[in-house]
Amino acid sequence: MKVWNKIRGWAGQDELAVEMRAHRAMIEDRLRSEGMSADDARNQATREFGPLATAIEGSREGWGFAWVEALWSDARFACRALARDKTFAATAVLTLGAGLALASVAFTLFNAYVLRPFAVLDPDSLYAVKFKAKDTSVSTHPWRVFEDLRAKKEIFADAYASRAVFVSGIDRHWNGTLVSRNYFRMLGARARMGRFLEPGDGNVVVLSHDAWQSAFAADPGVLGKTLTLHGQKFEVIGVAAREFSGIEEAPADFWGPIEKLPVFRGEERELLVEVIARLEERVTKVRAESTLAPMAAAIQTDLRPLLESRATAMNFSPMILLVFSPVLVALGLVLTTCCANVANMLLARGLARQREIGIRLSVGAGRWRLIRQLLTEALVISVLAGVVGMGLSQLALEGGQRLFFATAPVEFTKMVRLYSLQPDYRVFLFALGAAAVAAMGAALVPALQATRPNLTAALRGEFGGAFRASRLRDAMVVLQVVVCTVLLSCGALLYRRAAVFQTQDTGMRTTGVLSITGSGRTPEFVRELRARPDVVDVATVLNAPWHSRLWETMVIPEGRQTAIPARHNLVSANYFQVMGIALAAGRVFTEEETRAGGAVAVVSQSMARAFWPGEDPIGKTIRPVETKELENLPVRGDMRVIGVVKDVLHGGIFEGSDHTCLYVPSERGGFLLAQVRGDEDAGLLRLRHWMLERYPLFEAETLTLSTVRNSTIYPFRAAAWFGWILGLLAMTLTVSGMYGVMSYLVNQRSKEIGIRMALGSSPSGVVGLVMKRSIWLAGIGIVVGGGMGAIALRVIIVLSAEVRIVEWDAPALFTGVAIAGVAGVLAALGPSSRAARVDPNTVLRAD
Amino acid sequence: METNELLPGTLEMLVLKTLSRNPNHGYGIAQHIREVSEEALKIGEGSLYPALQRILVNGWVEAEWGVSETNRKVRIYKLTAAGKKRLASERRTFNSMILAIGKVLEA
Repeated sequence: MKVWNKIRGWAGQDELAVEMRAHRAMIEDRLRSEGMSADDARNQATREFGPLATAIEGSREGWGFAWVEALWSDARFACRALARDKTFAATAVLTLGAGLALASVAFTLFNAYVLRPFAVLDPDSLYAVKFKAKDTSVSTHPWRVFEDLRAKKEIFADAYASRAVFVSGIDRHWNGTLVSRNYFRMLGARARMGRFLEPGDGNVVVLSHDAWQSAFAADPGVLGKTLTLHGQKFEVIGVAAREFSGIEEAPADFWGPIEKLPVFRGEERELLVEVIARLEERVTKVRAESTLAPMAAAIQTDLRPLLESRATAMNFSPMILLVFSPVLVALGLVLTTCCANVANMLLARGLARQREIGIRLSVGAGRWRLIRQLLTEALVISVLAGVVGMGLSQLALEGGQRLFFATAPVEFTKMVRLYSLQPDYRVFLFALGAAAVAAMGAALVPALQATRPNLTAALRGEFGGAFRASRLRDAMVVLQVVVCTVLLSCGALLYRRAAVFQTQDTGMRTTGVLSITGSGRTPEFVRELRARPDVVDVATVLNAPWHSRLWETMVIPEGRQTAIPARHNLVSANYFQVMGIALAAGRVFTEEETRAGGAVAVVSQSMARAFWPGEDPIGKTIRPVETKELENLPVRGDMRVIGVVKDVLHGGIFEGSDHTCLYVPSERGGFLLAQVRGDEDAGLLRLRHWMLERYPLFEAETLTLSTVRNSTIYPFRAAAWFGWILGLLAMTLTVSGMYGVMSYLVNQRSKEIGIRMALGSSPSGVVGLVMKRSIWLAGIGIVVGGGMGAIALRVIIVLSAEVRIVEWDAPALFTGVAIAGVAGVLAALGPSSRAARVDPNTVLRAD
Repeated sequence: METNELLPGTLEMLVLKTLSRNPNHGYGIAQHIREVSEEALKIGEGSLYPALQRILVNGWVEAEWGVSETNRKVRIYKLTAAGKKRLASERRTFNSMILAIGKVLEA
């Protein structure tokens, strides 16, 4: 009611003026009736009534909306002021916009995966039903468990079954989800063409909008066409609407009936499905979990039910924050640089407007009113910067995606599906909010400083801003140099590490080997593969190179009493040949020994040194030990060491320094490694074609080993580029900031410089004066930055000591320091050369 | 005595009391207070109209346009039921304050 009254009153402001004028007129009437003349009456009335304007203003205060009007007029004033000083406005907007663009990019990604709920019906009530125990987690359930869950009408409104499947094609991979028939209805999906699943459907699929566009070129006649998956033909019966792409971690390309799961996962004996349920209204997650507890306990006594929300692609957990914290810190640093830059600009501007502010203060303007006006100016800048930032962030995301698809290993990119990174209202709000906060932060201290009344100077009539050595301004410049140094050092460090990994000698053949893995492999397949003309040889291995780290098992080497963990691998006889691993002593297995599972073993040099330092390992025995926690070797009884091979780098960049390996002969390894002649990519294509023709039921993932290795390195290269880009951005900002500050200093001290030159100082002396200051600031900055970078590096090395991804890299730090230092010096050259050209005559005359 | 020397809220109480006798316009309220206090309380219009807006926003008076005795267009304020209650409570508070001050002065 009160607010309504307020609005009504605020809208009727002119009526107030009428009312007050009437009041004053009535006072006049009374005075005249008492005998005063008309003029005297009017004067007296004015004196009694008070200045009309003040009275109206005072009444306006009562309405409580005065601040809105003040804001509006301040904003208009700010726009006019900014339009007068376009360079300042443009620089400030671009600087702040660059920092905000980075923040927006980070937030857009966060929004797409963690914040934005899926575009389905009521996503917040959807939960995946899982059972958890201390060290087991059951995410898939047998069919009858699904039916039992679905029948629990008291907690679930409905539930569907689903299972993700992956089909590798020749030039395109398919990410699919097999679902029960109520899936589409439960999620409220719309079809763009055709229909969804119905009872009685056989081999059918529904395509996603993206898949329809990319694989079928948006063909309007796609309904009825067939898709061959795993050797069976599936008819396309529908295309989903653009906004629907399921609620999995990655968008699906197609949906099929869950009954067809055996086609895709033939090796599973029974049908296992994930269950997603929608909570009945007014049922809480906790209550649902407790209702399911007996069901979980019946399967295994310590299992407890756990409902995981499926409203967004990823659930927010502190882990995510931890993993991304370095990136967030880097972005935060750059944004701070931008704010420091803008703050410096505002400081200089405030000093330049000292005359105007001094006059206002002396006429009686309140200090807080002036500060509000300055902050409003910053707010206008922030709105513009927010818009610019959003635009830049969209460009950056677009460019980043293109860059990724262009530079990452091809196989890697074919498997990656990203959710839409379109901005929505949350991103807009974030951009505006971040812009406002950044601008306020940057403008507050300059506003406070600018309005500090220096009445003595004002009274004397000195409105020209005297040069004030500002510690604050210097601190900002130093801060920027520090950030710049740290980021550049990071970029250099990551770049060098990536180069090291790329050129590292792994001790194995990195090109010309294809890896084939999958279920449904037959001995005929291996035979035919070996017989192909372009295949040199085919080996089998349990743990293929660079796919993952080696697994451990427990053994007792000869001469010891206790069991120790040993990294091991199960390999065929020709593994060493195919992978080009050099023999150091003894011999490798024979085919006989591999087939019969003979009790022999080959060790790596590191393992020989670790087990029997200084002794000859050939002939020594190793006893495998059965354990529950780790892998067990297929061999029973002691193994005899028959050979030693050179160390290899098997696990990729996270290997650490452990190169020990125990090679055990076996033909049961899950990976086939085919050494091919000629170009490996052409060989891969030929292989895939052949496999699709001859062995369509063999679901296999085929890759070149070099792709696998590159995929492990690529994140590092990407991080290096990211660090460089941020570092260069910070450097640009620092240079422009320093340039601006130095220019301002030269301007302000032009009188002093003029006097010096008139008294005989040489131009180089003047240049030296200006440069000295900037070198001093830059020097502090790079020393502090270099120190912080060194400390941070040490900390990271200690934390990641096990995996040894980063090493102490003095040249990288030095590079960062050097570039930042050079940039700082160059930035000051412009203003200082201008200082040298100051003409004492002109400068001393003006005041 | 200028009304800005009065305790805050006292002015509103005086205005409400004036209006409790009969509805009036701004000038009339100021006149009445001046006359009844025998020129001791002169309300500057810088204080009167803000006070009137405040009590209007709070719903203690209603206002509508009318014509004064001298045929001028004025806004006439009328006390509401809520205003009556407010006046009573303000008077109670004011009286207890005066009593308290008196005790201190007499002690």
